[in-house]
Amino acid sequence: MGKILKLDNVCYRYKDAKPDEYVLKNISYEFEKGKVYAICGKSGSGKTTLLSLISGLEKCEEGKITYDSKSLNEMDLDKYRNTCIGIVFQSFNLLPHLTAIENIILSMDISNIKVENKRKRAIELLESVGLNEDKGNRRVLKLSGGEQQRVAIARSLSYNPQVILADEPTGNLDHDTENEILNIFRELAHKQNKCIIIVTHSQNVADNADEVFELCKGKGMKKEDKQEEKNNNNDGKEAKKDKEKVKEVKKENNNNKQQNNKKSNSKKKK
Amino acid sequence: MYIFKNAIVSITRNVGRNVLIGIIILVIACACSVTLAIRNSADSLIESYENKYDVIATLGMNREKMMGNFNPQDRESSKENMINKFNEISSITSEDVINYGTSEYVKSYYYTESIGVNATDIETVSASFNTGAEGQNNQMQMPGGDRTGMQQRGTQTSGDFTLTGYSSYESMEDFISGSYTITEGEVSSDFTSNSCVINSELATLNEIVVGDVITVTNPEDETQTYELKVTGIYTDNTESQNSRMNMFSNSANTIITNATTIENIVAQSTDMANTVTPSFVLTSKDVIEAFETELQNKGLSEYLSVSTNLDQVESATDSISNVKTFATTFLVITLIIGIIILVVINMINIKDRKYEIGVLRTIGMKKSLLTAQFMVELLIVVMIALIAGTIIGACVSVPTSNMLLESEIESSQEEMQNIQGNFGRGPNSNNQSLNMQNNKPDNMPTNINGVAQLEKVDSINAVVDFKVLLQLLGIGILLTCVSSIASMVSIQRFSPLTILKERS
Repeated sequence: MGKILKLDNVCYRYKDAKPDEYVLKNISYEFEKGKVYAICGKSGSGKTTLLSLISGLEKCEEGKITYDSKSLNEMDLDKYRNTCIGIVFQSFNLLPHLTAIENIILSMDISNIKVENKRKRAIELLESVGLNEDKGNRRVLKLSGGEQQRVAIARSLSYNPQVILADEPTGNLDHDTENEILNIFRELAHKQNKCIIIVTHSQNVADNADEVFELCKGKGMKKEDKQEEKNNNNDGKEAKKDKEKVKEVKKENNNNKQQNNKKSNSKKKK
Repeated sequence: MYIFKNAIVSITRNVGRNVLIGIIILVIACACSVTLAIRNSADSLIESYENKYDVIATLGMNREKMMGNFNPQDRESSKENMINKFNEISSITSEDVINYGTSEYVKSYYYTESIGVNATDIETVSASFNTGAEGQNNQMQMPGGDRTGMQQRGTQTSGDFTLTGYSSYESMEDFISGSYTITEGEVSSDFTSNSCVINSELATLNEIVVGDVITVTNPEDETQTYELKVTGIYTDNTESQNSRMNMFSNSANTIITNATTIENIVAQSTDMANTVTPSFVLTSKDVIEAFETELQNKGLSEYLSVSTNLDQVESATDSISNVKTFATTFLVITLIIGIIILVVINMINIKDRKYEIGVLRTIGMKKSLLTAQFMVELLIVVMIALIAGTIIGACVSVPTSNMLLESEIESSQEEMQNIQGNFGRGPNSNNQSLNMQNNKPDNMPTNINGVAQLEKVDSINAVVDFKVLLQLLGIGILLTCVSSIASMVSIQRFSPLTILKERS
């Protein structure tokens, strides 16, 4: 799997903060294509800030973020946002005066991507996230929350970015819709080899991610690799079974001992 | 291209706000159109006045310079010195005038010559009645009001009559100003013929009619005679300074002829000298100093200086300049108020569209393109309103400006007709059979002493010309740019993340 994004000792603090009051401090990590990442943490832990730094909406104070081996500091961030990454927000951030299709076409226009028939491509993208053309022709405000989020995902895919950043993408959605959106993300990662980074509070989202990171007061990133965890879980169960077997054997032995003792005691009384 | 598409979508989305902006621009455009038209009309009027009153340079005594020779400590010798200096001043001859007239700063020139003559068969007006104004007939009647004629001192002759010769129509200022008016016959258009016009009083007392021939003589040598044919009779409309003392007008004994005739008379005589009064029509008011320097280089005495009618020309355009200044001030005030209103509306607009800006910036739209989109939106609205405003403004301004110009042209045409009448032509002439247009001689200038024959009213539609349209276009772009500053600053200042957080 190719490394697409790399965080190298990233530090960030607000402009009006004290010199040692960092929101994020020395965050380092590498993100790969083909995986769904979940960034978890308590409120104020710096999840959204980290996402803003990765998306180029904010600049890190120390350290650097590299995309495809190029530092963001040296890149045209507007170009980076309209070609390299797609952003999906909790509140969708679609333009309400446009239809779903127009929102996607506008995104293609901004990225200056060369597509013969942009409308056709927009419809295909909508279909890929489970929306038909009829829905695509509606103003986004006339769509449900789940549908708007699908439009936002389709928009973020319109210029075929390698990384999708999602900030609480299912925060406003019910459980079933959340699962549908997560399925879309998983498919994008596993079938289209995209790198999906989701900031979330949802345990369900975290459970569905390939890797989970927990930010604790911005001072570090704790890695939970689901694959290892699964492996660990499997080893534990067997050991438990062994222990249980041992316990059962011990129990049987004890029971036998007790029975033998009772028998010998009764013989002595007689 | 998507910027234009987005701009049009945004315009149609916010119809109410854009209509409001359009109405404001429309009003500004109307005001600007009218103001610019008035400014242009004022410019045309000033130009016409400048054509009407050419800058005319004359030569006069530099009294300040002359007085510089006067020493109060030594009055007697100073006086003598001044007189000597005065006598040393070389006289202006017609050759000098022609020489000065070749200057590149001179558009045209004309001059007047005078000599004193006697007459064999006619009597002077005062002599006929043997009363008053003694010696008057010996006075040189200087044409052109207070202008100083350059007399050839030492050989100057005096006579019963003053024979004044003009080089062209332009030089006949008394006729142009209306001081003299032809009542019978006309001033001959042939400025080389031995013709003359005489005062009506002289004609009446000597029973001279148009067509008669009078004979004038050299006062020093009565045998030298010159015949002049009377082609017209004029009346002097000026009141003499001591009208109660003088029975007759000052010009009663003035015979008017052409400069060529005077020069011929002087050439034939050995002891006659003429007085030459030149006038030079300069190419512009900016060349006065250069012209004076050139004349001094050509030999003009340092005690003679060039004086002009510039003050008169400038005072004539003062009122129009004031109108122009007022129009300019009004234009500036209109623009300032308009810009302030548009900036406020735009600031509100930006506040309303903050979310849109945030979203577009988040998905990677460049600040410059976003600013351009907002400017294009405003430019489209401004241009539509500007076109409508210009059409309305033109409808209002053209008649107004035309009215202003029409009255000016009418007065100019009337003036022109009066001038032609003074020469014995046109409707003012007693000779009603003469038609001004048909009877105008070939050499009768269309610009007599700078009084231009202005074009007719139907050619004034140039008020909404290309220049005005360009100016309005410039104003439109200025309005767009200045009122877009609010959006430019906001777009540069806004952080998309902050906007979206606020929205959330």
